[in-house]
Amino acid sequence: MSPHRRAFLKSLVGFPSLVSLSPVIPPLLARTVLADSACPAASDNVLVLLQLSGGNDGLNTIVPVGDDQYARHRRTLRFQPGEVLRIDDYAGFHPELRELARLFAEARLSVVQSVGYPDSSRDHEVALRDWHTAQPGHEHADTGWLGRALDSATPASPMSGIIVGSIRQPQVMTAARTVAPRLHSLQQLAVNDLEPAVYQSPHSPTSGNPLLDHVRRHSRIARLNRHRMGDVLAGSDRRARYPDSPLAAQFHIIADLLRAELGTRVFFAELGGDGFGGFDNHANQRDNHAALLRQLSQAVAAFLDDLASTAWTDRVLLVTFSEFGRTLSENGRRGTDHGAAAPLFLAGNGLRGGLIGPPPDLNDLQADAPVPHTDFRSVYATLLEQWLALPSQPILGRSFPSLDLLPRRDA
Amino acid sequence: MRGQAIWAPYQPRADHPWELRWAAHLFRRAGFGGDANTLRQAVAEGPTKTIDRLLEPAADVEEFEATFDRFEKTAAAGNSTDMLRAWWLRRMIETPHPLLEKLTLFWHDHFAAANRHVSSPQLMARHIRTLRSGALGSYRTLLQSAVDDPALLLSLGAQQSRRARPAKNVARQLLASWGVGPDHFSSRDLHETARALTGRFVLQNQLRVLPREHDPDPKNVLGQTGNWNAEDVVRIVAAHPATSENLVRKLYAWLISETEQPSPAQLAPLVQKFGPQGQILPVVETMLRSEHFFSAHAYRQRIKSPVEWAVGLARSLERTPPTVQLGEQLADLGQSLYDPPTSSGFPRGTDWIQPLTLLGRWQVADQIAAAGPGDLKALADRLAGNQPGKQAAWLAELLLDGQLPAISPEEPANERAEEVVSRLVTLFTRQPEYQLA
Repeated sequence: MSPHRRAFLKSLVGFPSLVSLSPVIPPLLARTVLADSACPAASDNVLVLLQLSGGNDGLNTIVPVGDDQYARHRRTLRFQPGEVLRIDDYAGFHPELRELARLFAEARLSVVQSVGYPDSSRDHEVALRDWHTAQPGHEHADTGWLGRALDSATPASPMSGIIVGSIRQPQVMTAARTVAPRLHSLQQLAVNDLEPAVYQSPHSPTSGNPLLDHVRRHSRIARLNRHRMGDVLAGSDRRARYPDSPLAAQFHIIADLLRAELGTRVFFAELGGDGFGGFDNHANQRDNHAALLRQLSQAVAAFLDDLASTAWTDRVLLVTFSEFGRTLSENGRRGTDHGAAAPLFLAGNGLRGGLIGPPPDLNDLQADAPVPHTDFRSVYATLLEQWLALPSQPILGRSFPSLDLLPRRDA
Repeated sequence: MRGQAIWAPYQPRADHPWELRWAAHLFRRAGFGGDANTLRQAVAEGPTKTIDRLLEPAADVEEFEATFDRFEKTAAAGNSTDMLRAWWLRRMIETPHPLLEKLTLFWHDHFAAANRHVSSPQLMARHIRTLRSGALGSYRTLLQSAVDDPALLLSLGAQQSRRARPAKNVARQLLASWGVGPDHFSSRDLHETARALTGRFVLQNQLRVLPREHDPDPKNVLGQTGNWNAEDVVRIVAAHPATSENLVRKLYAWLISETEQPSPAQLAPLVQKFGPQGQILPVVETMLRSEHFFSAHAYRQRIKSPVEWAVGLARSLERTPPTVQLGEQLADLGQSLYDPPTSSGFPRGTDWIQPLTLLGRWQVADQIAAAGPGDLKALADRLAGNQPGKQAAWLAELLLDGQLPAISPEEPANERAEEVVSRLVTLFTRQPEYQLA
């Protein structure tokens, strides 16, 4: 700070200002703030939940080209065995999922097949609520499964969640106590530069007021976060190329937030919620669906490739879901209608990889849609227990069998 | 300290003088903070007269509320509560009766109707109007209107309660959250209360009572047996001492302290004042006038919720920020009016504060300071004179009870006089103390 400036401030407030911090917080301070703070240990895993809004056509995502039933019922929308990105004789990725197929080959992507729940709703609102609350049939469920996960963390190691993008307060992050803020751009963190002096001493004596101590502690972390965010945005390791798409922008924000080590463990993002119906393709599905899957594939790959250069590469797991799959038959308008079970993707390093669970049985349909094989709450239970290290039973209301999805680094 | 002593009215004296910080504290709790003139007047007039005016404002409150009720009528026409939310924030910012609005917010948190279940801005608007009209009246009346309110019934998933299948949601809420509390009723009380509430339906957004669906047999609720209906169980629950204590305790957490749990003995005089009718105003008045309220037990012993915080800043600086955007930003910080996250209301206390919500507050604070009418510098020049030092002292009075923080800006900033005020606002609103009520 210039002497001139110091003098100005002195005149301003009428008494000497305290020694200022340099713009770059000394590492020692950063460490003490962290040690002092509620920032989770860096070893904590991160979950990114991605909603594919509108009901994704699972049968044209992981395409059962080897099944006659598929070819018979998909007159205009079907892919030929030569068009898909081959997984095995039976199935292949949608041709636009090139990057996901690459990640699959690298065992950085798993596909859990035929995920759903018994008597699943085919109404967007109801089905979304079921997936968000993990309490199908409970019309008046308030909190989301991730919200309850955030609430269940102990004060000693609190968990925080962030909603990224334009979706408004998704129920999945609704908690009785934990606030999951929404960020639609990093500009929200780029607040300007004046700071109270209280930040100078991370070990300032307690005030005797527990509320004030709490706010002070979190204010220090907030300020540290903001500085780190600034460093990340100006930094040279932010060279990763993201495609120009809304989803890629959300992932880019998440990667930047991870680089800045804000301590957030749960992120929520969305694809298809832009008001154009998203994955809900009742008519002329082909091009729209292809464009969304291309966006998905490129954004997920850019995200994982970006993280590969960071310490987060083994600690981030991305999971997709959609409120339902679609009908096997086309509806006469080159589209499909609301269905039931569908595949979901898990992406991250060192996954078990491969196809998990049996493919949809196209000879065992319920109202023209594949029946579920794996309950979505089993996926949630596995994520809670094995990835976030939280007991799933209190969060999901009962216990669900875990699946063999995740890397076993520690075991 | 025993009950009687702490609730004796505060009288200024040499070792506990009436000064700015107590006036500011009073306006933060009984409303959303005071602007410069309000605080100056309060300091000049003393606690008794100031509280008299808070309880009964001289302004034409009826006219003000009627005007905003008309605005809301239009705002409730759509499908979302965004516009309603914007008008409510505006009402809080401009109201001549901040205590009434503060208590309306208290009851919204308490009853916690959520539009995501109700799906009717009209019903939500009516619900909040009902809360406002009874906010300082009788809790028993509020409870009765709650039990009869289609918005709350829909919010709790109680569209219908048939004789053959009594719905328990309202009964559970009435007993556990609004009444005696979880420790003071049995599963039998719950079942019999539910039976007393049978025959009630929400049809086309109206409450309908169908006598043939009402269970006419005797019920035993909280030790009282009779052929009870909705009015009866409301009366029984409202008159129960545990209900009074719960409500007084909740008011204590709002008006006095989130950090201290008062003992039953301390609360006893207020519980008695509250009585079987649940007289809200006498309890609020006793709290606000008390020695206890103007003590370290209360001072800064509460964290401002996002709405309290934003409305307070707008009122202190006499700004009228665009409230549609503000409403959405406050929702992102965890407080969406008309849509509390659960039937227990909004988060509270330290729940509100985490690094990212603080960064959000810092951003919104700058926006509020930059809002009209006119610019803040003009207001500061007019009220404090145009010297930076005087303006700093003035803002510190408005925002930090006169306590100037030590300042350590880290980068050379533009020193143009026009920017001094807004930079000081930035600095002062980021003080941890500013997050406390």
